[in-house]
Amino acid sequence: MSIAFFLFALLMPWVLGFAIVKPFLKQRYGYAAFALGVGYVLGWFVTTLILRIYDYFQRPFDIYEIVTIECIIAFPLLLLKARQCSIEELRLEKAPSNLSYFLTIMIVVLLLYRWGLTAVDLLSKPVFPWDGWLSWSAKAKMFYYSQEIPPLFSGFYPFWSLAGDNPLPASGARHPYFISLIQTYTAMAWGMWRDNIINTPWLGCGIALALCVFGGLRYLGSNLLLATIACYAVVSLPMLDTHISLGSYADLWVGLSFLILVLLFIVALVYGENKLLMLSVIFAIIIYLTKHNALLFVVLVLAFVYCWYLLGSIASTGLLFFLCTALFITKDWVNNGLAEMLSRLISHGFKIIVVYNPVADLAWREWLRFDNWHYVFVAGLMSVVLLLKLKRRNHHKSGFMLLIVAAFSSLFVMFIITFFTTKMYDIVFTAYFNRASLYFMPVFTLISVSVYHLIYKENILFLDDFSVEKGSGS
Amino acid sequence: MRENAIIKPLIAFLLACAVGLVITFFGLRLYYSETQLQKALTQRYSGKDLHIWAGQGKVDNESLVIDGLQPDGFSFVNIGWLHVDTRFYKDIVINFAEKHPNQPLLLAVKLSGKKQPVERSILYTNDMTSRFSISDLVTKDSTITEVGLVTDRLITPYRIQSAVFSPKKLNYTEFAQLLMDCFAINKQWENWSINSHKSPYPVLIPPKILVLIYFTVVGLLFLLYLRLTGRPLINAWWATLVAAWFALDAHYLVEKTVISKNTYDTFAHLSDDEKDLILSPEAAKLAQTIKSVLPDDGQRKKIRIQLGWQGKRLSFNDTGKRYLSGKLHYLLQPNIIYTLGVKIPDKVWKEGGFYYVDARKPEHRLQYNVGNSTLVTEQKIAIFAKKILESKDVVIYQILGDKTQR
Repeated sequence: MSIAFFLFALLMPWVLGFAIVKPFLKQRYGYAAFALGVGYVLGWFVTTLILRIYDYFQRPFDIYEIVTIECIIAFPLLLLKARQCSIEELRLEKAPSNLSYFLTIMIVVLLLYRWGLTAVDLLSKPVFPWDGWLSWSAKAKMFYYSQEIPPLFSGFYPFWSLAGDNPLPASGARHPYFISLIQTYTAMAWGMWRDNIINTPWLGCGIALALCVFGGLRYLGSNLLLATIACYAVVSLPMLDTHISLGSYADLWVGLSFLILVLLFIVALVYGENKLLMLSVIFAIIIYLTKHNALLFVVLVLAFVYCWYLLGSIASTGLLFFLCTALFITKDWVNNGLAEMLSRLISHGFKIIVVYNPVADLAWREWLRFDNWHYVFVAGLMSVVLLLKLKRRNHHKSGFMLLIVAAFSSLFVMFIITFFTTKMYDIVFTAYFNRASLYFMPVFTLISVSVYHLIYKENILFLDDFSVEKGSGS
Repeated sequence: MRENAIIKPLIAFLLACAVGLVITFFGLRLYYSETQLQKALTQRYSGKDLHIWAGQGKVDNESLVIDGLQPDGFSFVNIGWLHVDTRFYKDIVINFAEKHPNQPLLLAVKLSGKKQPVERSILYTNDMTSRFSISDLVTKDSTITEVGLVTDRLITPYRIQSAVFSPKKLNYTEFAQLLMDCFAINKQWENWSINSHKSPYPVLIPPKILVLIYFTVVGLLFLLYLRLTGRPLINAWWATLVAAWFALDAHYLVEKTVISKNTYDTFAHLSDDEKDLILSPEAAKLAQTIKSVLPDDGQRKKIRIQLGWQGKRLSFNDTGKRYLSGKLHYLLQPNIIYTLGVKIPDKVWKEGGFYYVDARKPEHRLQYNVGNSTLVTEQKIAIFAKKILESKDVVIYQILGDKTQR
């Protein structure tokens, strides 16, 4: 197949997703970028649904037919426009300064350079990540050669009782098929199975992430330069960048979907655009179909954000959340590690917990000491300290405050899940800690920008503060 | 107008960056006393870290006892994968716990980029310590990658306690070079075979922490400027945060550029099979061997592979086997692969219709009777099988089933 068809076939899920998302949004600043970012994941999801429908009707996968179906759905939808804003909803923004434009362009150049390197990595290497050849890509290869989704069972254990011809052995058979089907579709678009081609959508995932952050923040009220800086901050996270460059890991897709879900949820709450809640639900499903265990995390975080939105106080939200998590960690969820830790606490005092606590040790090493996440924690924590010090009025229903709440509740939920449940055992697998962090880190990176917005008036341009405040302050 | 208003703070910030550099450097020099530097830089390897390449010996209480030569009368032990930057080190010290005073020994030092090692005789000494000045061994700045001890005559067994690389007293330039070494680029695909989960050489401060310290100083200086000029102090935080983030990212981006180039040079011109041979040689070779004997009839084959853990389930830590098994499973697609964790039941043997790959050691493999073309299973059942390949690494059968079915 030609490269032109390959590129067209890869672009179609994106166009399809964009066409579906656009009518849900209003014509605020950044809506097109936001729709593109959200649409990327949604488009792939719809594409995998088409593959599943093919399988349901026992029709072998045919890439030409599938792309045609995508075109048939997408092109009419493209005619639908985003809704107009009412006069009250319009936001007037000062024109960005030349300096702002210049810096924005510089950052975009850096982003393009980064993605260029990523493309070199993705298109040069074979399937390298453990999860790729062990589970996602192995299944994708089966689907590709079978031209259907055959019944699978775990390949490590020879289930002789299933020794009939139908079920195929596959590692991680119980894992959902979303990621595998993306790779299957990509291989079909290329026309043959090539290790270095099947991960191409991961590059798009990185671009979509940038568009989501940029569009989402613009939609919520951020200016051009700040949204671009935030976008760069997220995309530059080394661990995230590594996941894009490696391909074949699912965590990046969970992280992107979670970011989209949070942004959609917050936009829906702040602007009362309830239609977006429907999209949020779809993204919760996408997360579930990417990695089952991520859904619990998402539900807890959103519940926390909604509590905050309703109550607006740390004490009451915290109490509510404490009750939820207490319920969550009871019974068999509580692990022996915790019991052991409590026993140590009683016998040796607090210090022993810090010293022997693997979570604290890994958090220090993987989050703070190593260059996995740049300065995201220092930036986030320090920014919030400044916010608490300088806060002039109650912002609890502001979109940016809700972003901060989502980020911290993600951290908190991750802490609870890692520290108080059987998941604690998983952290002996060092990669777990960083990969699980990837779920919430894109949201966490937005804390500083959010704090900036909350401290300053939203219509003040970044870098203009010196001039504005010099005039008033000195 | 707006642009002009930020020029002064911008210049002030750049000045703070320059002054911060000086303060950070001298601050760190002050902080790291000679004792601390010695402690941080000294590389100490105990006897058990040495590898015996030729001759006989054993590890005993952290030391290595060399008690025999190989048949051709030679003994060689070494420490590999070193990274001793000779700019910062003064001596190599070999401590013996036990050695005949006249034991002849040769110290062999391998330098990066040089094929031939530098050799020096170990002095006949009674104090059990041999000290070599690095400046005598190498004429210019280089990196020691290997240190070994060679002998062709063993008077009595000798015991190596440790090998120590002791740092020299650093001047300001060398200290600056040491700090800059924290930013050394990690070239990912180089030395791929080394399982180097930690840095092989001492890093005084992780780069991230060093940048953090530096920008804390810069931030404080800029804060001072803002305070003196009556500007909002919080701008010190935003300016420093953005600058520190971009500085750290610049380092990462340079590293990514090197790695991407390296990836391209290593892989771009190879076929998928060749790439697999680089990344997972064992699995790729075995997969290619199996593929080479399968008939090319376009049909999916059932292949059951025995990798040598028969009788027990895999434990989670058994990553090597999991890796091999998973990779084989991936590489041999679209065939149907079963990696065996337990014995194959009689019923499955008797049914036949699959390929059986036995990749265990020869002594653990199933017995094959050439005369009547039968394979005797663990349960001592003879089933018809066609041996299609046998090598020291693997034997492959096409299992035809039991007699009655035949």
